[in-house]
Amino acid sequence: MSEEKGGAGIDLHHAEQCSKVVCDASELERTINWKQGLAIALGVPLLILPSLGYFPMWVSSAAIIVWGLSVFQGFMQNLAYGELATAFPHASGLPGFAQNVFKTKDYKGKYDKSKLIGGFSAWSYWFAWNPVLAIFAILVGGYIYNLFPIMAEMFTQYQLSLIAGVVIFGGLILANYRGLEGGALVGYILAALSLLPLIVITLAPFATGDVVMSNITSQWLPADWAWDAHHILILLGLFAMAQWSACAWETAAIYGPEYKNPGSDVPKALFVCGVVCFFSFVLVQAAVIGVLGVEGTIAQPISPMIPVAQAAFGSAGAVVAIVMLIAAMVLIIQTAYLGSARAMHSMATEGNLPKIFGKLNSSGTPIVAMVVIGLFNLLLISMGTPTAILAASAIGYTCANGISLFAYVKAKLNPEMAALDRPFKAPTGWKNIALLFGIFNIPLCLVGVVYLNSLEVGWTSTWIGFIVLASYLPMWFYSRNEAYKEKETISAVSLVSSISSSKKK
Amino acid sequence: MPDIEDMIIGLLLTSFTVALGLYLVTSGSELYIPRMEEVMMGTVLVFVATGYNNFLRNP
Repeated sequence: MSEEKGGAGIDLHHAEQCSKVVCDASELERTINWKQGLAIALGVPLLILPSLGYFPMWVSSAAIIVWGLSVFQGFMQNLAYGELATAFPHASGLPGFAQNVFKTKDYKGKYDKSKLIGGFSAWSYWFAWNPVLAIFAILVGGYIYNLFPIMAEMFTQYQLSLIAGVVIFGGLILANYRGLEGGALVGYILAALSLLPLIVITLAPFATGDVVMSNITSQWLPADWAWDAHHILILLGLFAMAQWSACAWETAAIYGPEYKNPGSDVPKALFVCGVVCFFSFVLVQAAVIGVLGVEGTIAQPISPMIPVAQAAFGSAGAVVAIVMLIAAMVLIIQTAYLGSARAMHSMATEGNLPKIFGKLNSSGTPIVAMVVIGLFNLLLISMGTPTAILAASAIGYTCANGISLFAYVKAKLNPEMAALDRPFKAPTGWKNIALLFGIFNIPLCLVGVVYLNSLEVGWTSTWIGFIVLASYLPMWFYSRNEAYKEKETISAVSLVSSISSSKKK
Repeated sequence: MPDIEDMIIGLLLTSFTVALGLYLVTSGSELYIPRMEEVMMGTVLVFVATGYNNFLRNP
């Protein structure tokens, strides 16, 4: 297997087996324990950053509760994903499960409806992770703009975000050109390190007494809040957006096949990851509202961690803390960049995207996919606000989660799939829970997030979400035609060769 | 075997239809669709009935 490795780390020739965010398909052997599984998911709490100022704008301090409930939702969903991961050890990752479960065996025709759904789920998942690049490039630009006045005099915030995007994406393409340095161990360490600055900035104001509890308790919900259809839809939309951040620790579940002892490692990793994520999300939002108050948090939509760090460390200390946070954001961009390129390559290999996206350079890097992703994200940066992009991308994540949960239900109902060996099993009857959360995702959260987008940023986010998701259809039909023609050519060639060999005889 | 694929397609279409309808109804959009609420409710009922028939009653 080693000679098939692309470049220095990731085995892209087997990428169809693995399309998760951090992945090394060459190590699908049981090599990690639950602590390493935990380390993989430790970068996830950083994903709260784009929404810190946005959630309190709609639900004031109740944003803290929304984060807590969203992590709970993650528990419910990830148990199902953990089981799927061990039942389909060669299809890790949400896109991998869906593409494997939704695929008609020995399908003769060109267009398999089931395969379309599996591919669509993978595309939705790609669209969910891909904008992490643009979102964090905007945040990097925003933090630099607000932290260094000299930069603010020279550039606008948008220009700084665009420069950050060009420099980071270009730098990562160059850095990865000669092979993706995505070894599993390095990935674990980087993911764990990225959590440190966030935790330090979050806990410091609690220690220094800068968190004022009355800032939180004085306004749990906005004064005009009512439990009517309008507000319930807003809440559902917020859950869809929260899920994008607070349920992303599925990364710990989908490593199922690689755990040394899946039966005990999967539940341990899930439980500890869930607890860490629960406290991180709740504490980060509580620290920000506790220091700045609801109004103060809303006034800092892009970079609320700067005033929090300034309150705890003073101006000089805040610069150091925020620079570390920016470094952590670059790490998250690198992780998402590799994951997106890999997911795209995986779909092309599965015949769900045109082959061009699966093209590797001589070092085994999916360079076409990386350039396309970079350009797409530069375009997304022009949307300006990270929440607008997140809202569009949350549409994709909601679809991916909903379809993956339905995939779990199908995998339990289908006698052939139900008979597969499952070293880790979710509790009995979990298919009903999966069905419930599948329906919570599609249609409830999906309707909610579209509604919320329309209220907040007009139709831009929604249209971008719809157009990107819908663009999958022509690409899928094209790639199915491509695959069908190739199949026909192969059968024609083999027919000719068998006829000619029989004539010789 | 229940056709989950049909259910998913139905749910996705329902979601997008309802979301679009809700926005048009609540945003005071200038795009006027006569009896919008009834059209939306009818769409939802058709999808629910189809889903029930395919997924639960007639597996």
